[in-house]
Amino acid sequence: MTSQTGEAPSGDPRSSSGPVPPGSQPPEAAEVGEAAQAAGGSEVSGEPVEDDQAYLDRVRREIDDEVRRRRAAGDFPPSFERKLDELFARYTPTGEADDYFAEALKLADRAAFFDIDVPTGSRREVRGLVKWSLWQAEAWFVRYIVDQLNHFSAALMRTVHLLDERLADVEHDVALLAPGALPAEDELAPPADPGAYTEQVLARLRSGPGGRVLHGECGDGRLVEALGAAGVGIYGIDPGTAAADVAAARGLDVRRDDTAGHLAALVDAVLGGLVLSGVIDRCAAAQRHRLVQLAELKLAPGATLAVVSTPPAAWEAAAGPLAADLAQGRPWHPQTWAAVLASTGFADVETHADDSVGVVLATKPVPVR
Amino acid sequence: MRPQRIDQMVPSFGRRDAIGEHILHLRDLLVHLGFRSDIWCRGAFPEVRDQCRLVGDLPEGHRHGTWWIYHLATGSPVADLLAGRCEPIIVDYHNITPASLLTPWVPWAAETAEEGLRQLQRLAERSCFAVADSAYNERDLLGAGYRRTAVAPPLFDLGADAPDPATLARRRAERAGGGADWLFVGRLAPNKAQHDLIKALACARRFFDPRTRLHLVGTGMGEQYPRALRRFARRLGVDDAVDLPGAVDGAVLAAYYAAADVFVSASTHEGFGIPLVEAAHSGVPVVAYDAAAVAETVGSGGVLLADKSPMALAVAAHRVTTDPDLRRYLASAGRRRAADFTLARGRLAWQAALDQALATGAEPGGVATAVGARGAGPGDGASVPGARGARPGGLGAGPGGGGSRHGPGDQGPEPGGRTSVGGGAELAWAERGHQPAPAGRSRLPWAAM
Repeated sequence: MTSQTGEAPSGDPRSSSGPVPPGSQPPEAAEVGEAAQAAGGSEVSGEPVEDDQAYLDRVRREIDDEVRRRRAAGDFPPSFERKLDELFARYTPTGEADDYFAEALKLADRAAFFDIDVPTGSRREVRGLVKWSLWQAEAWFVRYIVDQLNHFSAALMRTVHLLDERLADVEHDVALLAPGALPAEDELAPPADPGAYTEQVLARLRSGPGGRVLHGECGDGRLVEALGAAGVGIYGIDPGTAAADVAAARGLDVRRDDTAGHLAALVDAVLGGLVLSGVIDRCAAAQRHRLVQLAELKLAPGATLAVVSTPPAAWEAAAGPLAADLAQGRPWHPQTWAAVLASTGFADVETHADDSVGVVLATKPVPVR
Repeated sequence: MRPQRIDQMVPSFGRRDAIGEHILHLRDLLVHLGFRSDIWCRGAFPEVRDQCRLVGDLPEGHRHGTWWIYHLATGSPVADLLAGRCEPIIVDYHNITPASLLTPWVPWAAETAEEGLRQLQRLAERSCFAVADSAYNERDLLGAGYRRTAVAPPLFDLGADAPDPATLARRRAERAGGGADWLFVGRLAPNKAQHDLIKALACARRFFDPRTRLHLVGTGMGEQYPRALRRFARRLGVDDAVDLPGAVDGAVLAAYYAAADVFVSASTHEGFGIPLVEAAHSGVPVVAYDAAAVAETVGSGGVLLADKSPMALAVAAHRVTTDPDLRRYLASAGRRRAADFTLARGRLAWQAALDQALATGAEPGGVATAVGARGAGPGDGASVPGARGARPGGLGAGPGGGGSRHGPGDQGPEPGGRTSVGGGAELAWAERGHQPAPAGRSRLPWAAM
């Protein structure tokens, strides 16, 4: 483990005057020095010996001084260190922590400043003089350009910071809109049972173009069972309630999935019919509109959409006050569904309702050629 | 009343990581002091499977005359299991890496780190005493609400392995062409900041000596960070000078120490830093960024830097490798400092800590009189949640069991099982796609401390 050769620093601390370091004596003297230190002695061979901490502090100061000196002389251009930071930032994952954006912004801030103080120092005096002369000759031009660049980058970064502030406001507002602790799904009201209106639903489905019918959030699957028994090719999905597990255990074609995600993954115009229930009673208004749009997209022309909802009063009674208050949305009246479907472009809108369930049937129009 | 038995509990157990070695030495000490002592864990590596028992076999009832030492370095279901039992608990805190340092790179490790901090707080009420590796770690304990604490370094055996001759010969051949060899030992993890060492290497090669080399010994935490290090080195054109040997066994590690010119650390978070002591013991000058417990561990045995810019690290390392007086001093001072952490001294410190713990008494919060223990005086009693006595269900499975998302050895900043490898295929690393390293490369030295 010999020491390595290399370019000696300009201010090589080996030449620095000062007290002898505690361990720098020849081996035999070092033993004496350590013994003296242990005994509280402070002098060996007539030279003062620093204590360990003072010596290390001096070394540290000399290292700091050398870094400063070399930076000032232009040996260590700040642009080089900045480039290292930027290069590594390219390999750093982003967007997974909130404070990472702040770090990226700080990096951009640092990179957006163009340094006009060109380092002109050099270990060779003549070279330094040449550098300084060139700088003096060209300074007026460089300064003019760099000033404009700095103004531009400052304006750009200011804009980015303003956007950041606005985005933070938006995020804050959106967070306020988000519901608090939602009750567990199984504690919410079960999907409405369209039992009394199964015949009407069946009739509309049979009038359609055929093809697979989907029941989104089918609960215990009783509608899937009833329609299947009537010869409709139907399957159900449910996000995983215990009732759906029971349905699957009974041999019904019920799968675990959420309605919006499942619809989005389907090929357009593939469904021969669609029944929506459950989620439509408690999701936010925007999600309901999204579901209607997806239904319009995924239904084949002439196919039927059936919205099975719970009237608000019945839903609140079934869900209980906690679930009702904390749910993202409250059920719409059947009349509201009818209006929304009609305005979306569905035709033949038909409403059936009583105190416990509302069924709105609508047909995706066949394009006129 | 003096317990008859003091058992240790750790989430995962391996011989060749810092906590695993510490646990084995601590068990020897406990037996030497006249206690019966077992090691319990949720998962164990094959080489120590016969030295420990799985928590699934733990009897449910109160074990009279038994105390626990729980080794806390990450979040784990076994902490909750232990908190639900009635026996007195001593927490041995090995530090938890802040989640913020891990989140962008290893999100799952950040999750377990956060859970570990929550468990640290929960155990404050449940435990009767806590021991920290360093005063830096002890501050975490006090902040979490622990009333009775002591500091005792981890137990490890310096110089247990002779340098591997083949590795030493290879390393010396590499050095024949000149150039300094920088060394850092520790898990490849963002908090260890190996990327800052690569930056410093680029500076050193550009401004001092283009033959300078950097050896980064240790396994990766996750895959992203090690991959980023390799790409970064390649992009800088220094990939041929950056050596990433992965985990190595003790003899190979000793060869790396023997052939290094300087040990350089830019780590931003160290609860203790055993490699700093190993380097000092080997006579390798230490240059380290002064963060966390680094200054406490290094003492006057190395050069500590307030600035870890690449230039500062490069200048400091260059100064150390080219200044014979400074090298001689650091070699001597480092060895003196390392002598403070010999196994014999560590055992004495632990014996004193155990005496304090036993004098404090078995009640949570340390209600009884404490002899020399730090913290509040007697009478600041707490409730005794241990009286609940219920054992959380479903946590007692062996490796890979228990329904946890993370298998043993896959618990983020906790070194037990993270760092040591070698045929641990039955551990549940596969859950996250981790593959055990090949047999024979079985030691990541002291990663998390």
